[in-house]
Amino acid sequence: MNRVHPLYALLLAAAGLLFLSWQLHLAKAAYARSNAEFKTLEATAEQIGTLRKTLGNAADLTASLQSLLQRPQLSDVKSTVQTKGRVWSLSAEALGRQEAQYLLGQLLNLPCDVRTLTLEKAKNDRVNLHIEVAL
Amino acid sequence: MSMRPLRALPLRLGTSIRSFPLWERLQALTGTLNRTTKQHVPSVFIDPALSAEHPAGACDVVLSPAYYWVKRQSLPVRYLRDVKKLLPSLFDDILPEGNYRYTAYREEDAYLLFAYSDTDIFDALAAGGIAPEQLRHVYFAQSECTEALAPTATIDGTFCLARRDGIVVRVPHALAEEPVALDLEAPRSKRRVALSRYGAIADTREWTLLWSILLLGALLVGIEWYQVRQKRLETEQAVRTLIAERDLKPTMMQNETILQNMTERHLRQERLRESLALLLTLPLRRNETLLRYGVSQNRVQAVVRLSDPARVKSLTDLLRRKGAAFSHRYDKGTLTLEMEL
Repeated sequence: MNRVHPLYALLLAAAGLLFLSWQLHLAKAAYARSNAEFKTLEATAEQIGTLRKTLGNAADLTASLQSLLQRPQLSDVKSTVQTKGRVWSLSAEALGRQEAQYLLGQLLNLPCDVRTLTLEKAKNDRVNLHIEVAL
Repeated sequence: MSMRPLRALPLRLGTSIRSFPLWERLQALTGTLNRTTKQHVPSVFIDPALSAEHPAGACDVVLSPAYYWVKRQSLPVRYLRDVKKLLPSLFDDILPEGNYRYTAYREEDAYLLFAYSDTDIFDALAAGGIAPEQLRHVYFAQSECTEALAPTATIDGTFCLARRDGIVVRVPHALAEEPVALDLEAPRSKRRVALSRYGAIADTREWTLLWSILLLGALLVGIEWYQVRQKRLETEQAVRTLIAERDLKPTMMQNETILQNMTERHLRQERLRESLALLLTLPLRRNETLLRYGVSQNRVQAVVRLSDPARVKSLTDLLRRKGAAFSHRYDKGTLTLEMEL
């Protein structure tokens, strides 16, 4: 009687095995959750990556705007570009019809968020263009 | 030397056992029955020749040699654990068919080896009026009889305990050359007997099988748990790597909010560009002019000077055919078209 009874020990061991099985069940559930979260995060990361490319980034947008205004088609255009935080403002005055169409087409193809756009008729069949884009 | 005492001896126990003068002595020997303290509980001597005692509370039990087999043997083995491995084979030739447990201890230069049956002992305890819940510890008479005590421990008028070649045996009184005493009031030795109350429900092989199954189950569960844990750790590492590589926020909620904002911006920009394209591609005549064209807030607006009021219908019909949702107003030759983003 000075040691644990074999039957009690067996029952204790069986209870221990049940406890281990329960722990295993919990571990599996936690792994399943963790794996599902990883898959969701992976899909979210993929979508965010694609949208980041579509919506652009600051360095690319600055470079794109500068290279756009230096193109031969717009060499005669009086334009200014201002940056305020993550908002870029471009103003071009007295654009000819061709220039206006070209500039507008290019601007709308840039991967950015167009906040405001104004294209107004000016004197002598010219137009003024002001656009604000953001990231 | 081996000796199987007394169970096979014809005991003549009649209803008049209490009439023996020795009864009082045995009563005295077992007189501690009613004294139960935390440290000291009464001891009861159990022998086939004695009637049931029915002790009141917890008690220790000293087993008569009638309930076990004992050998005193010198063995060329240094450690007790090695002796215990040999015990079944040492008793193999004398034990009847059945399930037995074995124990041993060293005494001077020899080993005292014991074999006993749990079932038989529990039967004897039940016959002695001792319920299992009363039982505290069980001892062999071998370990509880000391030579220094009074010369005779008589069980009844016929038998007594005696020591022969170092072994306490139960012998007819007349043959007791070296009788020994059993003092039930004295503190018990530390030689307790391990009993397996349910040992009889399975033999050693079946117990081994049960334990093996349990251990195997535990091993399998443990291995699987380890694998699952490793996979989980790998997944958590992959999450951390993904967050670092893709410049994400640490929580899923933050990332989902970012994605939602970006998706809304993306859809708005798609609608904006579609609306601008529709308005910019309006087929205007030579004398018609686009006065203003703009985007502000969630609205795209185009102001056109038309040459003819009838042109309003043709232009709006054209936009409707292209599936555009818009509103328009015409005032003094100027058509204003507005589209909500």
